[in-house]
Order: sequence, then structure tokens, then C-alpha cells
Amino acid sequence: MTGELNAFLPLSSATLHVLLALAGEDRHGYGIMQEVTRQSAGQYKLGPGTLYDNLQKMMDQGMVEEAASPSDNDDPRRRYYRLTGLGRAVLTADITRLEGVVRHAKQHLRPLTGRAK
Amino acid sequence: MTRALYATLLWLHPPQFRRRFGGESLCIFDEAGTLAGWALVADGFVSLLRQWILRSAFPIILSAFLAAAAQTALASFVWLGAAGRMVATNLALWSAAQTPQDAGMVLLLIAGLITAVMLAAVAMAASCVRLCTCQAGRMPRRS
Repeated sequence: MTGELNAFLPLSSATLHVLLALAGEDRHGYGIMQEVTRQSAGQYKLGPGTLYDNLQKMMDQGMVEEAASPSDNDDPRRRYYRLTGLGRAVLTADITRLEGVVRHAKQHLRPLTGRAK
Repeated sequence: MTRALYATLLWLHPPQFRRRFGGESLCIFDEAGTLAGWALVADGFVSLLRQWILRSAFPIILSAFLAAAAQTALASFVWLGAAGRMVATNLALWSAAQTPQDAGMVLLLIAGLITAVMLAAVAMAASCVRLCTCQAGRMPRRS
């Protein structure tokens, strides 16, 4: 299973942010864009072109699927997306990988910071 | 005006992407308001290039078509040149001798020329079939 997950790693910034945005709840396209902006404190902005290109890819790979709209009064053009089990596993694996990267970075950057002082 | 421009850019996307995400993208444009208009238009333009160049089978089809056209042109050029020379020679011999072997040679060359043109046409038809198959989504997408 880990080997299968490794085939998806490392995730691109856009994929990582979209998966993270969907980790909490099902969202529509604009909701994902807003959540990505919020998560990154406005540093990473996703346009619809990049968003839907990535969503298409993730749906093809089975990481994301379409979900039912939670309200009947929603704009009919809106579609909701949710994370699948595979998507959640891939996201978890990438977060673990990133934790390792951060741990390494901290170990190696500490002496440099000391020298700089 | 920006909305019309954005809608046009969406309309120019490959049909598969347009049908699947066109409505949603326009919905985002309507929700984001006019302030984000030009940024979304720029995003739509980049997306248009990305979808046609990287995600559709268009480059494969174009290269197949160009290769088939080059083959046709080259084959026609070679065959026409060779056949022209042979026909001229044989016509001169024919008018002088009128031998059935010479007439047979001319016919053989013409048949060869027709075969070459037909082969090129088959190659081009195969490219067109590939185009239709790709557009119908029966071929794997390029990642």
C-alpha cells in the first residue's frame, strides 16, 4: 500500500492545497479556492483553471470524487467535491513526508543560524 | 465586458473540459465579482493554452497530420518526377516502336503512383480516426 501511495508523491502545491481544503468537508470549486487562500494566509491563490485542471487529474486518479449538493437552493452550476479514502491516504503520506523534510531542515539550519550570529 | 471575454475563453477550451467545468468556472467568475475579473481572464487564458497543449491530443494529431502531409508530398514528388521522366521516354519510344512492353511499363508506373497516393490517403484517414477517437475520450489522456 505504501508503495502505491509513494507513486503519487511528492504532491504538487496545487494538489496538496486542494486535498487539504477538502480534508475538512465537501466543498464546491469557489469554496476550495477560498479555503486555499485562507489556509495559506493569502500567499497561494488558485485560479479556476488550475483548480479544475487539478481536480480533473485527481478525479481520474481516484483521490477526489463528486459529492451531492448539501442544499437544494444552491446554484445548479455548482458541483461539490469530496476526498476519497485514497485521497486521504495520499494526503496523510505527503504530510508525513513533509514532516520529515521540516525535521531535516531544522536539524541542518540550526548550525547555520548559529554561525550567522 | 470581462465576463463576455471570460465566457469566450471558456468556450474556446477543449469540449471535454468545457462541458465538465465551463459552467462551474463561469459560476466562480460571477461569485468572485468584478474586482477579480481581469485576474480570472488571465487565468482562463493560461488554462486555455494548458488544456489544448498539455491535456488534449491536439499536438499528437497535428504532428500525425503534418507527418502524413509530408509523406504525401514527398511520395508524390518522387513518383511524379520518376513517372514523368519514364512517360516522356516511353512516349518517345512508343511513337517510334509501338511495342506492347513499353505501354505496359507506363501503366505500371501510373499504377504505382496511384498506390502511393492511396497509401498516403490511408495514413491521413488513420490520423483523422485517431482525432475522432481522442475527442470521444476513448484514448488515455496525457498526464
